[in-house]
Amino acid sequence: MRKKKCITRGDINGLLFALPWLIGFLLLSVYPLSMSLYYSFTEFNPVTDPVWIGLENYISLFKDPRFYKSLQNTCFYAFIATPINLITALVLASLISRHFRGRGLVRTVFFLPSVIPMVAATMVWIWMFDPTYGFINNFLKWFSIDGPAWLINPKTTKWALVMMGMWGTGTTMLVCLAALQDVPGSYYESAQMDGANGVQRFFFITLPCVAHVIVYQAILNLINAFQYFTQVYVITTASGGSTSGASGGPENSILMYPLYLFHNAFIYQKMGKASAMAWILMVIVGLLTMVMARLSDKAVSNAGGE
Amino acid sequence: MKKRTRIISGILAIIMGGVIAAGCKREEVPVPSQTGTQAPSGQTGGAPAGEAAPIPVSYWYYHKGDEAVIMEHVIQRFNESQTEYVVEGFSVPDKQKYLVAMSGDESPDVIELTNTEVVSYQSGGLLENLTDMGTSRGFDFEVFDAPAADNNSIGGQMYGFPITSVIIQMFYNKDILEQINEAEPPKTMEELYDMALRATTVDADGNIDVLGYPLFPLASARQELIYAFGGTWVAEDGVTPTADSQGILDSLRMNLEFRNRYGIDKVQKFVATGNTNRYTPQDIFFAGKQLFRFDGPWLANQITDNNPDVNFGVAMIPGTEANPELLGVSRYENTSLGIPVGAKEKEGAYAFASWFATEGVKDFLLEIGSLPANKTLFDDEELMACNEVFPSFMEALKTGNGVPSLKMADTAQYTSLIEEYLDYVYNGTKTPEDAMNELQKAASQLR
Repeated sequence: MRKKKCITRGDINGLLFALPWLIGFLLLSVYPLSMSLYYSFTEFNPVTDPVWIGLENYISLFKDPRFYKSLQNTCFYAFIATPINLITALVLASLISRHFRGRGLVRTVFFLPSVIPMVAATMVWIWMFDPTYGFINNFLKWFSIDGPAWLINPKTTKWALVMMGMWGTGTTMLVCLAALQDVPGSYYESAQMDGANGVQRFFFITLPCVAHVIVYQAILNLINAFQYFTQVYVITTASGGSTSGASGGPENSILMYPLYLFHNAFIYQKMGKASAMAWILMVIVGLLTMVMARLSDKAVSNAGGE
Repeated sequence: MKKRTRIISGILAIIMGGVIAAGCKREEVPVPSQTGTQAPSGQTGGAPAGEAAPIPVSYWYYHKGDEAVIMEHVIQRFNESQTEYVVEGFSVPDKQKYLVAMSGDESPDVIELTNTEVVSYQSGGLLENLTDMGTSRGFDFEVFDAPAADNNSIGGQMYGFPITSVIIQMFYNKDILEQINEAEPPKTMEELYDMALRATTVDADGNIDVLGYPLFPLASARQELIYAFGGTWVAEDGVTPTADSQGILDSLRMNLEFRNRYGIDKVQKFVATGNTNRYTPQDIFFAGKQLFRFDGPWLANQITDNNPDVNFGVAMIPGTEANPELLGVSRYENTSLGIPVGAKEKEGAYAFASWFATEGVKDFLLEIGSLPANKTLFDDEELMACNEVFPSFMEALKTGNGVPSLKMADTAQYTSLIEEYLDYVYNGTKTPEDAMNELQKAASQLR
């Protein structure tokens, strides 16, 4: 019996066609990833060659109070802002899924913040949070509330970020809206005939039917929260109070994990330590995604999905 | 069909190979964003017969826009002053590009840098020793102000020629001073505190309306307000942290006393507004809501642009009753010129940098409106006349009370720690003693 060739001409042709992607993947993904793993075991800055130091970077990170502070701040944002944003998006989507005059305009208004460049939006928010001239404190003044110094008081800085996040839920809202419109109208009609009120219809029909979308959005938002950088970078640099260029806000209250990673890499010039932080972040996000994916499967099966 | 597939595959492979080869090919000449002049005409188009063509020297500076044009004027003057070299200027505002170029083999011949960058770059061995280069060529290093020379030296060797200085002094609102029946600005920090208490006013809700004590800008509160009490963040060697020194604690106690008197939250709110509106028409000093402001000479220009009606004066920052000799104390920073180790035309680079720091610097300072690091210009009348506050600032420079920058390898980390621990004090989270002891402990781990 003639031995079958392991690699056929078709395989080679296929590989050649896939070559552009393969080269890109190897050079732009695999190589930088491998190098960052290697750098995480070295001490180096942009002007010196890397020196192998084993687990030193990881050990020093686990002894570094700022590492824990940044992780704590990021977890606060991830686990507080994510559910708030999801609820806001779902409520807004439920409201604008109804038929009323000017619905298109209202949808556009709520979605608009999502298309505004983040840096510009953050600069506007900095002005809105101004304790004396800012819109928010002047609005609170109407109700005789003396608003705080949002971005300089460590007790309010993170809540200011949560508020900013709520304003930008347009994309999540749009996804929820699409999911809501997929819920068959016959379900609601049957429920109405059975005497279910609006709240019951929401909790027993709407929510289970869009559960898979909500969990999917939760995973995405959680991952995004662990990469939360632009807003805090703009706030800490635009405030002008820092001479080190490595501010994490008052008492480091908004020192998010990616911001601290950036400080290590580009301000303190500790590329090895920054690489170690990047790998720890990858592990954390990987684990979270795994947990959320399991929850997602459970949510879908509970909702009677596939 | 098979033949066609093979041909397409072959073409694709060749294209990919070409792309990779092109990507890996070394760029011969890096061309960053270039502004202003190249070499003046008559110098790049080939030298006249019998004369050697001038040798090109590349110079990267971080100024852009109008300031880049001023830098190009300097270059033009140098090129016209001699025929041996022709300097080509490049505006490169992105600092990362300097590092990449200097650590690779595409280094410019001369770079503009800050004094902290002199320390940072030289810690990686990236700069030429200018003491060695200058001494063998008879350069007079005495022309530089002592703190400027210190800022640009490591181990007694200079690695940067300072061209400008940055110091901070005390601006005050004459109208507010008059309202509290004072004709003269304070001579000591104790007097300043007393005036600050009398000038600070609050509304019915306790919100501050006028701030007397110079708690804003934050960077000045962190530096000049500390230095005025004799406190410094490092010992004289520039590298040993002294966060728990008596001067720092004295300064923080006075600072906290003021904050507690008017309410930490109220003070923070006012400072936050000052921060958001800095150098805008709503700036608290321009709006007549701040008695004392520790700021740089540029504040005078900002006042002209935003509210020329502000009735202000300038005086030297006072010391305390115990340390009156600290009058005029301030942080001291420089912009400098350095020659990277990888420079290809070092002779030309030295010729340009030494000329710029001495002969060429006055015209540059007049155009750009900065203070000199060259002490032969401290009494220069033309320079004094270019900014109404320069005479006071020049007087402050002459006191020699400028505090050179930190020279630790981990300077950025230490500064960041200082900011964090001062926040704890300002917010009343920790006492000055506890915060500074903890800071000292944390700083002792740094290099």
